[in-house]
Amino acid sequence: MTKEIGSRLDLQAYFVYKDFEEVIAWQLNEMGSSLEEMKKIGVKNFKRKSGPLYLKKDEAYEFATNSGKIEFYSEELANLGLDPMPVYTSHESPEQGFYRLNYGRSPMHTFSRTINNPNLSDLTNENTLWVNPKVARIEGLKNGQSVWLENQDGIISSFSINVRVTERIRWDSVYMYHGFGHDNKKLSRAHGKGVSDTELISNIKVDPLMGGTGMRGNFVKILIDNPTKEVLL
Amino acid sequence: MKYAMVIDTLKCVGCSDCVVACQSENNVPIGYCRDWVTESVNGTYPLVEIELKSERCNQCDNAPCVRCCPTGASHKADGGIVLVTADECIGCGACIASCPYDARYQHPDGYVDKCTFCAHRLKKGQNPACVSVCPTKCMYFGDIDDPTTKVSHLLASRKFKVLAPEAGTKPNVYYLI
Amino acid sequence: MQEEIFISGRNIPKIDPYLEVWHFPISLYLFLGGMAAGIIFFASLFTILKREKQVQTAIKPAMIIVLFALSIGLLALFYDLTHKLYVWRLYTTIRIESPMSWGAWVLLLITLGSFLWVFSYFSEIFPKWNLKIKALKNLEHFLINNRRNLAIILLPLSLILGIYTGILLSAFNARPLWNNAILGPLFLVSGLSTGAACIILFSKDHFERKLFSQIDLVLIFIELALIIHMLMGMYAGSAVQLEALDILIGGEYTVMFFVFVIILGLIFPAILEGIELLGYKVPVMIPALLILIGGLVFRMVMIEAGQLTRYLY
Repeated sequence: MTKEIGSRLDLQAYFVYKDFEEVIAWQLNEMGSSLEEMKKIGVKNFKRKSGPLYLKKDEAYEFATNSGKIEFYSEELANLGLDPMPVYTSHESPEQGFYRLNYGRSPMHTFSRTINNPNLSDLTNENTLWVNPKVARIEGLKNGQSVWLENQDGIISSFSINVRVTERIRWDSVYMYHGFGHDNKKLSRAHGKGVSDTELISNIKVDPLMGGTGMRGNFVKILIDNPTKEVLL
Repeated sequence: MKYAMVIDTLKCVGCSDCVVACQSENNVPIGYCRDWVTESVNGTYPLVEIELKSERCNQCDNAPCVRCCPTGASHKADGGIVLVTADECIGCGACIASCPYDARYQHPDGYVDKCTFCAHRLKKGQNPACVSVCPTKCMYFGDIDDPTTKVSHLLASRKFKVLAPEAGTKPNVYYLI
Repeated sequence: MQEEIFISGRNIPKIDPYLEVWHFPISLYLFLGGMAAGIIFFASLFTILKREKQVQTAIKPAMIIVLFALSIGLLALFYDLTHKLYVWRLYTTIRIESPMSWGAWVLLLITLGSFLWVFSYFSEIFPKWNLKIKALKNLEHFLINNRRNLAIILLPLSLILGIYTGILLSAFNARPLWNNAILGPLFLVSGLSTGAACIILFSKDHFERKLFSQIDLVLIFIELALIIHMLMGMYAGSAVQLEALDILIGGEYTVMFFVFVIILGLIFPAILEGIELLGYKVPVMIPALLILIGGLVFRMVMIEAGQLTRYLY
């Protein structure tokens, strides 16, 4: 496919093969095997050139730490001013009326790239907000009701989302699938369906030690009426 | 020879690959489906249990749809599969009203359509599309009149259930629980 | 909390969220079929009992109405089919286990029978027209001589037609509201009652109206008893039947059912007819019209409410 696109762009000089089988055969020849051999045996194991893969029992080995051993208490980290051993820091809890926003993946879609696929959007074209029945009772929500979300920094979701009252979520959290709520009108099947969790994630915590990001520290409030309607008044 | 399908609910993850495979194999129009996935949630948080099932026409032994079809378009074919002859169907809707599993639908072209256990693939010795495609390999298909097949072995060794046995239809899709 | 949902986005038109394959055309056909069965029953009964002189409306104008009713009913059925080009397949086979199949054949035979019946009265209805073709004249003569035999054939056929409208629905074991055996006799009695009401509506003879008012009163009581029987049966049934009962007693169709079918369609006309039999003057149109409307609404409620009930999900 790439070769055809290349020839149409007048770049056929760079594709000096007939088809990809030729490329694979050349690659295998360079490696010391051949296409015929691989077709027959399928898997070929070569000898390791860089030494054994695993440590042998009772072998003397020095690790890349200050003491040369595996360290549970890291002096290097202590010198840098960080916790030398992991210390539990309790994460923020939502205040009254707010719920922690959890997100996950829909088993039908691959992140958000398949959202406009006709077959897959026929299966799931919008996400739902999973709400515990106790919360639904307090907030007065019914299954299938349309709600809007506002997060702790005042960001309001662009579209509405339907509520799914289910026991599968805790009392202090709500959950939704990631990858919905697109506002690009060119995505004809996905535009405006569901809510985008990424637009509500404004608080991203970064681990100072290794840079990992935590995005589940955002809290949302459930709005029953369309917030944009209030502006007109 | 009686074909049956055995689905392991402990392995199903609800990916709905079976739905999409069936749609593409049988040219099912978008908006309709011959099989679907249901989720049952029981209990109260945190003691919650879910069960995922892929459901379709159960090709019942005592099929009410075959019984109440006025023209005989809905009939039992080889292997116990219930098929619909499109040329004989008048579109009266009696079979749709009589199916306790709501497995049949009216095709936009007028006749009634449903899961056929991919009869055209069975003729070539292949499994139905949904069974072939399942990524967790939780679906099994075979002849339960033959005690040596995998499905017979599964039904003899594990607990199973069928949908709505009280409807008296004797379905042929079993769910391992 | 128990939750059972579709997660593969199933939303088949006419099946989800509730079954919607049958609407007004089918209720109209059931009503017209029942009414036609009632009229044919009375016409053939009185002919067999050799009392046709007393029921002139029943045997002539009412039977013409039967022809229109059956034709409109058949057209409504045909309109409801989605694969119309293949409708002839219905008459290439007969399958006893399918009520729709033998019902379609009975409908065909009864339509033919009523055409022959009306044709036998051709000279009386249209005295100025002369049948030019000799074969038709012979046919009319033959029919006039064999009218009693025709009535003997039509009587059981009309009963089968009346009861078939109910058996058609009760054969669907997937719809709990319909799946009780009392629906057959109930629809038969309802059909006979609407047939009698139609005869009362079009009759000009005082004796005939009084006779049919009395018959109708008895039929209304039987129908009320059968409806109570049906509700009690559902109350003592399985979980799905209790849910079906809920729709009629405490749900969406309660008002329609109790106001239009029971009170306005059965109890109120019965009271009016009782008053009339006691000697007071009551315009006959009112109870007759109410019974007819009640019959139509009853069938509409049964068709729509029945499709709301299901076994799963």
